[in-house]
Amino acid sequence: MSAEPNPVLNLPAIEVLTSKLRRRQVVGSRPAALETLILLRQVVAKARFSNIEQLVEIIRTVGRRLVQAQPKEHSVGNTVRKVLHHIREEYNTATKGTSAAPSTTSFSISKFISQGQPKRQNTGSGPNHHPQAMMKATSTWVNHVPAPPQDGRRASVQINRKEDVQQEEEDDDDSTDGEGSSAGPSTTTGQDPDAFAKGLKPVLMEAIQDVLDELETVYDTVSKNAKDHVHSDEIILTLGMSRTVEAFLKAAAHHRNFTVIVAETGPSYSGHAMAASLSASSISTILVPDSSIYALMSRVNKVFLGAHAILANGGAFATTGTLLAATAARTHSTPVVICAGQFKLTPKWNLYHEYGGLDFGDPGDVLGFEEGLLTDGVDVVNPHYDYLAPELIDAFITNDGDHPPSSIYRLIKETYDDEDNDL
Amino acid sequence: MPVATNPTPDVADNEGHDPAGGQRDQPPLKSQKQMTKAERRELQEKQRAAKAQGKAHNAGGGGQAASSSRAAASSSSGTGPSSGAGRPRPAGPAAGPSYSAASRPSAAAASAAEDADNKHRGPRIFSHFGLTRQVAVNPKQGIMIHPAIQRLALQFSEFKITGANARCIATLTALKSVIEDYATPPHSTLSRHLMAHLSPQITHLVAARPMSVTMGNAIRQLKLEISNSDIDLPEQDAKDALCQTIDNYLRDRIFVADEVICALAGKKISDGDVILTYARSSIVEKVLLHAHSEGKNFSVIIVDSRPMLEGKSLLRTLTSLTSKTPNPIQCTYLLLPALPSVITEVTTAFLGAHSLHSNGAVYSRAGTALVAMLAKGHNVPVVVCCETYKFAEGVQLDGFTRNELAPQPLPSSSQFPLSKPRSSLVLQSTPKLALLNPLYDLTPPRNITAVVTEVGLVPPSSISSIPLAMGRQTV
Amino acid sequence: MAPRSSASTTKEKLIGGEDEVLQAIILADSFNKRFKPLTTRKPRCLLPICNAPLLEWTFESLALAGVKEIFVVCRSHSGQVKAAIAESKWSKPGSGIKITTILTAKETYSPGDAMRDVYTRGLVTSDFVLVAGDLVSNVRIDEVVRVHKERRKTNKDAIMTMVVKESGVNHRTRSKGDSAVFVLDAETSECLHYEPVDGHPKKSTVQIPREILAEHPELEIRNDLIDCCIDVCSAEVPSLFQDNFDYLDLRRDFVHGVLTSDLLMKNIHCYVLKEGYAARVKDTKSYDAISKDILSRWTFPLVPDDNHPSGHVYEHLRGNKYIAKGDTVTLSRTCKIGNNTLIGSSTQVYDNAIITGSVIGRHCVIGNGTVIRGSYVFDGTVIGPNCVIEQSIIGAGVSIKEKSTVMKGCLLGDGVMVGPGAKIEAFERLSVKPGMEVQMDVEEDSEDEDEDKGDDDSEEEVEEDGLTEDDTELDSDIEEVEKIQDTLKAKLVLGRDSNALVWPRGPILDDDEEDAEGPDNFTNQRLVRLADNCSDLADSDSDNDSDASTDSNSDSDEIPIEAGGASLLLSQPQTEFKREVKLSLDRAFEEGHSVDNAAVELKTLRMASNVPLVHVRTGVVAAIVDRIPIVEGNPGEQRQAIGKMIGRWGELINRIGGIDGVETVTVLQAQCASSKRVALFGPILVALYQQDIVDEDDIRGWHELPVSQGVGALLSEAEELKRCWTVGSRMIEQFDEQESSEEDDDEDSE
Repeated sequence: MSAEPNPVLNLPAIEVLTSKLRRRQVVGSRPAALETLILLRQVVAKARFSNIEQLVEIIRTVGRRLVQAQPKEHSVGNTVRKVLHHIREEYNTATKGTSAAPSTTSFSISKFISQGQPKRQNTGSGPNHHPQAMMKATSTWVNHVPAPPQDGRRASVQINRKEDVQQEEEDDDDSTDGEGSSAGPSTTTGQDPDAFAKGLKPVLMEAIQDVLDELETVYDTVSKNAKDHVHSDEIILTLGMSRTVEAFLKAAAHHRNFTVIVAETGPSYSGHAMAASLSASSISTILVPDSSIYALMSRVNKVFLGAHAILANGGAFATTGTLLAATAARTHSTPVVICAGQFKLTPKWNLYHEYGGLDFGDPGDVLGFEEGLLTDGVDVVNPHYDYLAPELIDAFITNDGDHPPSSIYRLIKETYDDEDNDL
Repeated sequence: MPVATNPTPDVADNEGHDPAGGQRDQPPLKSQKQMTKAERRELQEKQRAAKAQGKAHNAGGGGQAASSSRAAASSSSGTGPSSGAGRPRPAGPAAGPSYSAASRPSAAAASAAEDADNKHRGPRIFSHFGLTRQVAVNPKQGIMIHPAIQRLALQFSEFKITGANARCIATLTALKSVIEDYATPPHSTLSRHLMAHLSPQITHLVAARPMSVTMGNAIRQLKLEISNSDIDLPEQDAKDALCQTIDNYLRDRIFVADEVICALAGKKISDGDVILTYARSSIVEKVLLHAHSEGKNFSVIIVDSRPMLEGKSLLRTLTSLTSKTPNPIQCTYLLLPALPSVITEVTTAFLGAHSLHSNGAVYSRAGTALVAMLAKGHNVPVVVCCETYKFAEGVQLDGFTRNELAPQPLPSSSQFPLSKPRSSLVLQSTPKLALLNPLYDLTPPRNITAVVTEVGLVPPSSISSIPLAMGRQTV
Repeated sequence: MAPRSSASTTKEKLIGGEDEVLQAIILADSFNKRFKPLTTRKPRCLLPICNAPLLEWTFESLALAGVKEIFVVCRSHSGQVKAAIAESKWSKPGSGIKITTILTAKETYSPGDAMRDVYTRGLVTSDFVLVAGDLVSNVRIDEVVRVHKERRKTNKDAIMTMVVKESGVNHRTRSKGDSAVFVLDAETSECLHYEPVDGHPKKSTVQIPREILAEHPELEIRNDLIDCCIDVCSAEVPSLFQDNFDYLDLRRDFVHGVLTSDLLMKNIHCYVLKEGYAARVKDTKSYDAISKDILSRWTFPLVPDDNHPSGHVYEHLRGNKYIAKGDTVTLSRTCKIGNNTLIGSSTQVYDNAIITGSVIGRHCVIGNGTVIRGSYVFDGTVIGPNCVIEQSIIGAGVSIKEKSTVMKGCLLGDGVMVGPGAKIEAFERLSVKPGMEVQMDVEEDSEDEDEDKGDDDSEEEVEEDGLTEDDTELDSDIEEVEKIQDTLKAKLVLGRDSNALVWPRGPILDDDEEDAEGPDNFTNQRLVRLADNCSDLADSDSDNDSDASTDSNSDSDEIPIEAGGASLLLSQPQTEFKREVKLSLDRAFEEGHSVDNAAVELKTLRMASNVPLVHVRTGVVAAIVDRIPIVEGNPGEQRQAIGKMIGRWGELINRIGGIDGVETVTVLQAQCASSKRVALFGPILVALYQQDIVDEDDIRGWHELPVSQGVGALLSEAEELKRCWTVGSRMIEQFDEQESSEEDDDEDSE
């Protein structure tokens, strides 16, 4: 593997994404995660490998490059880890399946795939319908095609796989003729390594697709039992613009009638956008400056906050101002709840002591560049994040249930494989 | 004390509804069911009027919401007596179904009803905050408002003059000129009539902007002086005496006091310190400049926040005044949310105060409490600089029982930096969206290490003893 | 996260999606010598700022804007530029950018020439971005391009959009040396007038053509803009340069030319940046300012710890300290690293060294107890123990021996060796003596081995041409410097084994600098010089004025020609024009052309060297006045002579393309006053009046003007002007008291 660098590694898309990350053209944990996933899907689609280790190695190298490009977007690394985790799982189940099963096969597969066809209409559009069809196929394949790999059967299996793989690849907007070169010869010379890849790819595609689906539906899943957390006539404090919290509160508003106090966190003042969108969906909203958080806290019942990354120690990185709000809430012993998708779980815990981790931004947001004289001798500080210690947090509401900070480590352990913790 | 009594229509509206306010869902229903068409129309007109005036004085969110709430409130309270008659009337059942139907067609009425609803549910708990009002040029017929007072009132309402000290000084000087121009009418003594003459002036000021504690104390002191000024004294002498006392008050309680505080607080600054301060307090500014003039070598972190963004002016003064000197003060400027990233470097936090309560709580510019909290949390000593004449009697539990809202639109100093297109950020308050800019908050004594007064450094716990020590009547 | 980049991804796609690729041209050569001697052996665009060559910053800036194809136009040291590009990350596959180096001819002496070259090569096909090779910016230029394209759709004549950044007038990044006043139309933000402002001599007045004020209801006259020199040009811009071969500078000639000319009806717009950062490293002062801006993160996300153009990785520490990651840096326990400092990889800092507000390159060594304040040390420099270095730029591979002091504002060229115990005065400029490089060389081939020490990006492969031509140029400088060595050497201690060549202080060189631009007079140099606060230049003293006006096409010296109250700038091209006018008129008089022909001739003449109308008028009046024979002692004949002349040629004054009586009279007055024909002013005026070339109101109008009383004129002319004015006033009186026949009128006015 390391002998000759895998052709997939100089995929232009990788370079594009890394530079986008470096230039902050992809910002926010969810967009970053999405982009990463889409990239990984391409990579897997085009990668050539003869065993699972190679594939893992490829993905890790890509992941490493992405993470190095923008270490502050933790969700990138997380996504890579999650994909690796899923791939391993799928691989294990698949191989287990193949290891133990009767041999009445290639025929039935094609049949199942053709049965898969009608599914394609009703399962939604976009790249995700093939894999679902595939899921049908593969699951059945796991039951019915369980023979130890012998060439004849493998070949036939591989045919079906190939067409699906190609369909999958055609779905990738970015996948071009380059894919033809990688897939084309492999089929003509149907030797083992490619065969293995071909055999496995659809499963992996499905695995990645699962992650993608989870990511796309994360807001709904997070806010599915919002109404249990918000009650009528409560006063909720939130801060800045967090899509998760926004969705959460809106979901709660279907059942409950409450008031939200939104603190605009300078210098981004994203709270304004939040307030606008909440009030638009007829939640009675109050927009306040950051300075009045303490004064109002005595009347607030709960504090709902978004997060940028959840650390293994139960702490979190979140927009600046969060720490102030959380501390104020703590002094008034108001519960602090963090709503975040699972893709923000980061298997690191010691990020808080590196100063740069707060990701300092452009002072121009704080003190206009045009105030020439003022800016000259003056240092202007404009961090993007606060580090929130676990003891300031009462609960995390994620898309798989609610957790106390103390049990985050366990969640991380079952979400990722330990060997991926540093890519 | 005059500060606590802050008569706004909304307080009245509160009292009007608190019995009913027990369970919150009722008031809106009530206020809508009971509206006969006529009332709704009337309300509608009120609404329009309110909107119009709101635009006229380009009062943004706060003003409008307030006035509309006032309208709604008065209307619903007005419906009180007529409600009994309202039900049996055939319009009653008609009104029932039309509750949903009628509110649709007449948009203004609907919005008004909704507005009232919203005001009753959410911000209702804030409704007692002082609201910014326009100054009535001459409030009551007959009473002459002294031009100096009128000018001052305008300056207050436009936040041209802000800060406890500045406002107190301005008020006293204005009152001085009032007294100088005052002539006792025949067969009435100065000590009695002057009071009566001053009180409308003062109420005019209060109408412009709620009175600050400092003003309250000073005025009370003045009234005291007036009341026990000698009756037989010739008028001119009496007036001179009063002016003299005013000057003395200014000198002793503010100017000299500040110098003493500078000296005391200066001791707490040593070379290489990193001083943290929030927004802009005149006295803290003096302390820093004084320490710098003593050749101390320290850097300052200025924390700032909307709505007022006063820290900028402090930054401007510090940089402009010290940049030419051999050891310019190295300043760091940041917004409140960024505070945690620098708090660990800070050696001391100096904060100003609007007033100081006898339990040691400091009532000051909104955000001070957060700074104090965080500083205390990181074991940074929090020093509050405050003259004794800012002491307020009574105990306040949180920054909520009394507060004041920033004017709408905000003073130009507090605009957002130009670097971003801020057009998206100037939200107008809609029925569902209220903009609330409290000006003050209350820092609990536990977050304060010491208070620097002209009588020395005192722990917040023993603030209450100071008035006694100085002799009761002086506060 | 950074709010700036929120919507950018979509925009990126939009740009990417466009069918024709966005092209950019980088003028890699700065056609001046402000960075000498740092730039003797290395092009300016390869000078590192925050340890990355300027060119890389420029590439990054363009890449941000989704530029797909870049042409780098370079002249001197082109070999190095090529090499640098070749091994930078941009020429790797997947960078998504196609970079082509264009080698212009040796005799390209100005951006204008470069543009002509661009035209002849036919590089650009569509709208393109034109930047200088020393740009640092995080601006979304693609947005500007979009706006430009939009505008083009409606208005074909909008050929160019200049990007300017809003900043305070006294912002550190705003060059005091040569800034400019932009006159913009408030709503279309069309640039109506461009007036370069030299820091010295102090310029207090800006002249705005009347017609602008007439045509545009609302104007913005702005002196608070940083000119980022990012121009979005349409394809015909190079051709314009081709047509007007005399355009040299992009701004002073091209923009000014296009705006003033009234035959090529093109207009130029401005894009005023509120958001984002963009600035040019024009000179050592802006080098300092921009380094500071980068270190204090104004250029976010283009900051050392996030998106360093040449891919170094730095760790961001409290107080904006940046230390290269991967513990190659050795910091002694006792050394002090102050705020806003950047330290490159595998640099060693020994005990008690103090470094504040500085940038230290890679592979540097800072000795014990050395103090470095506000300085910029390039790669591979060794600074011995107990040295003091203040606000200077130390080139690559320099070695400063122990106990040396470098005062503020010094520039030490690559490979210089000074010390031990050297004392280098403020604003000295040192470079390596030819043939005295560290490794001695046989023939004067200092080029490539200087680079081995210097910018350690391997640039051995320098092409022959790039080398020789540089040497020729280099030698010329070196020689003229060497001539005066001993005189210079006298006053400073360089230490024993120094190989330094002391460069003369500013003026000596700048005077015989053949291609000195407007702002390149010495006092301006001082304004743009590192660490020079120019406190002594606060009030512009007159002798400096004189040497300011010595250099060619500097239009900053004012010769008061009174025209409608606005004193006009008159300088070489215009005097040139005056001569032309005179010649053509003489011809006309000799050969007795018809007035029309003469008028046409003048018009074309004016078009050719586009000058404001008033100059033509001046010329004409001058010519006419000069031709009037002076008849001694006989007023009558004199009057006839005048009458004849005016009768024949007078109307020409109003035929040259614009009628402005007031101006005519003013010009006439000035003319008479300056020549010895003062006496004739009255009669001529009368004659003009009779011919209806000027009417009563004009004379009154002129009479109102303060300038016509000689206000603000040179002393020599003042009283002459006054005389004319009194004559005029008498005439006015005449008008006033009785509207009688002109005869007796001019009786008295004699």
